[in-house]
Amino acid sequence: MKKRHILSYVFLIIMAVILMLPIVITCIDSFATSWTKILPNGWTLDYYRQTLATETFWPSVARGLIISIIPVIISGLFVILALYSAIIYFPWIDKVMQTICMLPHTLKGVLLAIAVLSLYVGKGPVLSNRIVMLTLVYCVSILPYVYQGIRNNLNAINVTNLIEAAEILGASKFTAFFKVVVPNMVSGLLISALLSMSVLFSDFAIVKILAGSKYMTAQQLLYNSRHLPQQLISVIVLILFAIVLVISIISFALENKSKKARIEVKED
Amino acid sequence: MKKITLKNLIHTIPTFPFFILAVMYMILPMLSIVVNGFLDPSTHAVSMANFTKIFSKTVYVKCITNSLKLSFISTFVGLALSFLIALCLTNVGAKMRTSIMAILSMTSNFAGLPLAFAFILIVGNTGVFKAFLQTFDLHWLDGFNLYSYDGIMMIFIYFQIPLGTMLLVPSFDAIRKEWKEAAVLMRASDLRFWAEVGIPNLIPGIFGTFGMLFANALTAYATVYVLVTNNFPLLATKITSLFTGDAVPQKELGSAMSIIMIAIMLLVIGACNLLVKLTYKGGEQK
Repeated sequence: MKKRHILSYVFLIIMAVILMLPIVITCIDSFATSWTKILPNGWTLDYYRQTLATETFWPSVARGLIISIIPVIISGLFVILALYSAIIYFPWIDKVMQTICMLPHTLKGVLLAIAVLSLYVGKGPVLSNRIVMLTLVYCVSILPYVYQGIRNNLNAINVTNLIEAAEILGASKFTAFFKVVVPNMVSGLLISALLSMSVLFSDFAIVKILAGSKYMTAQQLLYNSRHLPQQLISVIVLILFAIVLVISIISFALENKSKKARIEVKED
Repeated sequence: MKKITLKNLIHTIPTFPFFILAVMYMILPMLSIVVNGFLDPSTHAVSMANFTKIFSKTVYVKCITNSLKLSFISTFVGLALSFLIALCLTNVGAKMRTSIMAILSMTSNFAGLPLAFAFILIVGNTGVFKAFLQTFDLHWLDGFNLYSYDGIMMIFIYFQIPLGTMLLVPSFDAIRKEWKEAAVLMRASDLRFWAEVGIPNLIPGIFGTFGMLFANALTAYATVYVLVTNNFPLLATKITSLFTGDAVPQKELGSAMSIIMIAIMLLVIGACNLLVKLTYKGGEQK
């Protein structure tokens, strides 16, 4: 092995250790009775028991999950519907959609949230409803992921040919799109849906600005716990991180599966 | 291509939900920010009053300079480290590569509030790492204050690394083995290969990543909010407090600050795109 390669291994291992440190130490701390010297002074599961027994904990996690799932469904549905018109009737609409969907990459959550808040506050019961604002701002902020996920899958199939084939077999354009094209989009949609979910579940900025204390999500519960003992905070951090991790592992597994499927199709 | 005529107008109906959402929750709100930024708060006439106020008061100027300094330095350092990691990844075996990529994607999920709390645990006032050093009578971190510029910088650099590396790796993958072999056959040194083939091909990826990381740092909110709510003014937190703070909301001033933030972002991203165009010689643009 060349000297340069050994250096590469050493550098990567050092960086990996540094990157993992915050997670590992939080994990150790969550099981510690207290930690004032080199090693924790003792081990306990009490902080987990205490957190899980807190009345507000699971409802907050549930609220966090609900507010991450609903916008994903709305956004996905709206993008598919619009793509139906774009693909079958007006291809130029797709170009417009692409530009719009990439905008939230630059207009990050904080800006969108304050802009929506200042425009709609005090404008009637529906528009100024904080939950409505939160849901729809979430819908917009995940558009880049949702659109890209669907688009990636559409690029892998020949949409025009599939629709023509279905029409020759007597299907209407509508049936052809929803029975042939949409099932082909589903795996890509699922991956981007999970990715969007993990992004929304980790959000604190938008929910803090728009909902304040009116909608207590898991992230807000974490923020409100900032004066509690450090171990309790570590437990909450770890559980929230575990939830996000599970969501991204599922999405990662799905992505690999769909990649493999595509390679197999090509080999046939 | 079909044109929109009265007859096939009906087929545009499925696009309505999407466009209504985009217009009502992105385009109109952003337009209202731009308009409000140029309105005088008391007379509601078009004026530059908000901007003259921002640039004449130290507290607002501080926000801008602090945010710029923090975003630029953390992006530079984060990008440099990401570059080295991505470069090293080309030298190691598949097994090592997979594990490092897994660690990167895992740590990229550890951001925002959880990350801030983890840093408080490690290097906060009573952090375990500080205690660890003290038991060995080492005083490296005695002057380090997490709840200040230094602390925020440390966390920003930390979260730039996984993101930056994951964005750069595809560009490194695009440099084909054949090119390297060809360079070796023509007796080009390693250095010369990277200077004349490697880096020029990486430039679009590097500047693109720079723009993404910069925007990320400039708008980061949660970390800053927990660590330094008021004693260290930054654009993202200041804008938010102008709209939602305990005091009377200052919509016009906040809008003007938002315009400055958007302008900085567009300038940096635009400059990145321009640099790509100027430095990229020949070949097919990806």
